[in-house]
Amino acid sequence: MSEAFDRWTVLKRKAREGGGADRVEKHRAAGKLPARERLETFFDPGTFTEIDSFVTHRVEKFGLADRRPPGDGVVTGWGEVDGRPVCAFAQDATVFGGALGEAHAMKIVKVMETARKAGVPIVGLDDSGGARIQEGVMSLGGYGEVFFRNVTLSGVVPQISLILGPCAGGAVYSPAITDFVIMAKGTGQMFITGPDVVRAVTGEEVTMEALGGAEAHATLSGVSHFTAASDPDALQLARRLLSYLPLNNLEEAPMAPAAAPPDSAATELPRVVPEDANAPYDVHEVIARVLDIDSFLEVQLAWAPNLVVGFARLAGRPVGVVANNPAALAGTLDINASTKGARFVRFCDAFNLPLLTFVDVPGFLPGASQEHGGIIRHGAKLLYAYAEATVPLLTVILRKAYGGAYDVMCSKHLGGDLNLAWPTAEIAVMGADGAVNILFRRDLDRAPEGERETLRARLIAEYRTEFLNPYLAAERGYIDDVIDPVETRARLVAGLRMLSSKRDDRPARKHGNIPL
Amino acid sequence: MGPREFHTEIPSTQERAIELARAGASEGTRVVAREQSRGRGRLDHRWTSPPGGLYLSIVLRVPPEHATLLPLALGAGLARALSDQYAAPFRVKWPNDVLVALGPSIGRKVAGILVDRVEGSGSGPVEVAGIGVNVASPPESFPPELRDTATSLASVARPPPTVEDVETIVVRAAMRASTGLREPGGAEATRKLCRRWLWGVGRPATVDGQPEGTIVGLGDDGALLLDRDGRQVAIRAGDVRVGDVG
Repeated sequence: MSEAFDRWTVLKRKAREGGGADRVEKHRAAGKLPARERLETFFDPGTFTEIDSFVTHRVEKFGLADRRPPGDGVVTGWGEVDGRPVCAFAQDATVFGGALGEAHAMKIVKVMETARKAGVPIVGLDDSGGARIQEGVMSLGGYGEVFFRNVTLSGVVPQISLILGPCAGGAVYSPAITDFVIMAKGTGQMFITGPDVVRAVTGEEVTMEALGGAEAHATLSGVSHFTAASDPDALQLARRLLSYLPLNNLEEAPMAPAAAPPDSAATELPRVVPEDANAPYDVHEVIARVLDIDSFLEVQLAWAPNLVVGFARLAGRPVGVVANNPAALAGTLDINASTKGARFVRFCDAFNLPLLTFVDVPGFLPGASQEHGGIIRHGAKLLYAYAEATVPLLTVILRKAYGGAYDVMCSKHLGGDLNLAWPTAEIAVMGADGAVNILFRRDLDRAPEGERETLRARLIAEYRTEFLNPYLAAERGYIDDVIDPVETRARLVAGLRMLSSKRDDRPARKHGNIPL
Repeated sequence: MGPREFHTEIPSTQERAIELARAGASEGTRVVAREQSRGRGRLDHRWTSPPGGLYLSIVLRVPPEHATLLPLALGAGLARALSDQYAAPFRVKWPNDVLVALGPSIGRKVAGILVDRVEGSGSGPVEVAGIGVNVASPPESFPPELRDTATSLASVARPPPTVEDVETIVVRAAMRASTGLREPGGAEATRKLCRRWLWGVGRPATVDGQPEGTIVGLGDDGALLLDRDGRQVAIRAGDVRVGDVG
């Protein structure tokens, strides 16, 4: 009996030791927490349950026959976050540098399958040197098995990746498929090919951080959704993110107590948005005054800031928020904003989160680089995402809603359930200057030189009065009501309550063909 | 618009512009350099000026009663102008830096602003604003202590901005800030602009290393207002740190 227990104790201790005290010390010195500690920090205290700590690899070559650390460089299991079950895995960079081999991969696959069957979110903590070269093609097979599960679980349970160390080569495609990527600055790195290969192939000199650090992926590539200051910060962010999400696609997101902003917030709203259509303001100021206090968690804050997306609560109920932001690129829709919005809208639709859209958009960003970059394809994604969404869709037009961008931003025509507009709304095919130049070109050309500008000014004023308002759209029922901005929150709360049991189906099909 | 004096390298654009201002240079007169050997920051800190940056000092004329607002107005104006041009969230960090936000408490500085008041020749005092923008200096060119808190526009915006583009944006933003303060009602509009672009509202801040409270906004004179246990405190000087940005 005691021999059996001794053996058990030794194996368990070995598994807990990871790569040994020296490696763990080095790991800590780099500002990183060991894998188990990360999971224990992530889960509610005392709730983490580890599985598969006895799993070892089966490789005989390259001197690995006598190096079989129990656990094989990844810690897997489950626990609770705010009392709700969540599955997770954490790669242990102190064992084989966290490199992925067959057994390591199958542990991840197993916990992902558990998440699928149990219908609970899966959170991956990535910190790995890449494929375990000694295992050759079995490593590649392992990645493939993980990717397949990522795809199978997509839209079924929320998937979150935390990049807390290197994540290079093919390994990046697992986080890429997951719903959210959180990168720790300074330690998290993602790239397909590293600086050495880049230098050899293209001659570009670039550091690892500049190529694939948290900053680059937060601002340039949009690969990362959140930047964290440290390991604990990243783990805390993941917990907060989960607080807005249902466990799976068949459940509703958890309610929280309503936390209305002070009354002054509503009365300030009309002053937040300048009436001059060209004057910039920050749409965060509107979001903060309408949604529950401090409830907004912005996604991809530093990428495509011209379209703000994130989670918030309205009277305690989690919602997805999408808002044009005139503070950046005048609030135009460009390629990045379109793809950012589309992916967020599809996530919310997949996980039963109602969508709240604030519109103030002058149109799509003009320019050859946008056209040649495929703004036609990319802009269509946002339109497509809204049109296929069957969750409650609530839209408020704050100011400009011009041209095709009006249609795209969750208009009535794409399935909006409640489309409201402020009296300052300008729903039109384009702004006054452009419209007058086209509609009255001949009159303007014919006008004597000295009177042309007076005529133009008069026509612009007339156009503004006649067309730049919400009433032509409201007359046709494209807008359900024109409201006092002060009432925005109350109207949205009531609308959301009315729509809470919304059911809407589309014709059965294998899947649509979103213009990717 | 005043004349532009260009130097490939100069000890300090600010010192040169102050000389010009003392000699009666008109508003908009500016000194531009690609490198500085003795760049100066706020509180007489050294301003690192590696190649790849824009170093510019410009003579501005603002009503003396609103002069305290100028550094912040320049920062907010520049944050706004950069946000309008490049798809990244730029904000002004009190009192004189422009940063790009990576998260609610994570940011990287891209520009710094310094304002000196100078007695002009005859027509009253003028302000000389020194503005340094890191357009494309690689992180390796910064001293180690800045590598974690500073970045370049080229690292966060595509297509990578050129020094020439950024100079146009900076000069336009500076002139706009100055004319803004001279207009009737301009000070109020400027305060509104500064509040709108202020970084860190709602976040805890430290001043000179001491926890001071949560940032709530700006006072009328441009002071940083913090909430300390329900009491409002106005900060007028000191090194303010929010999250990881000092």
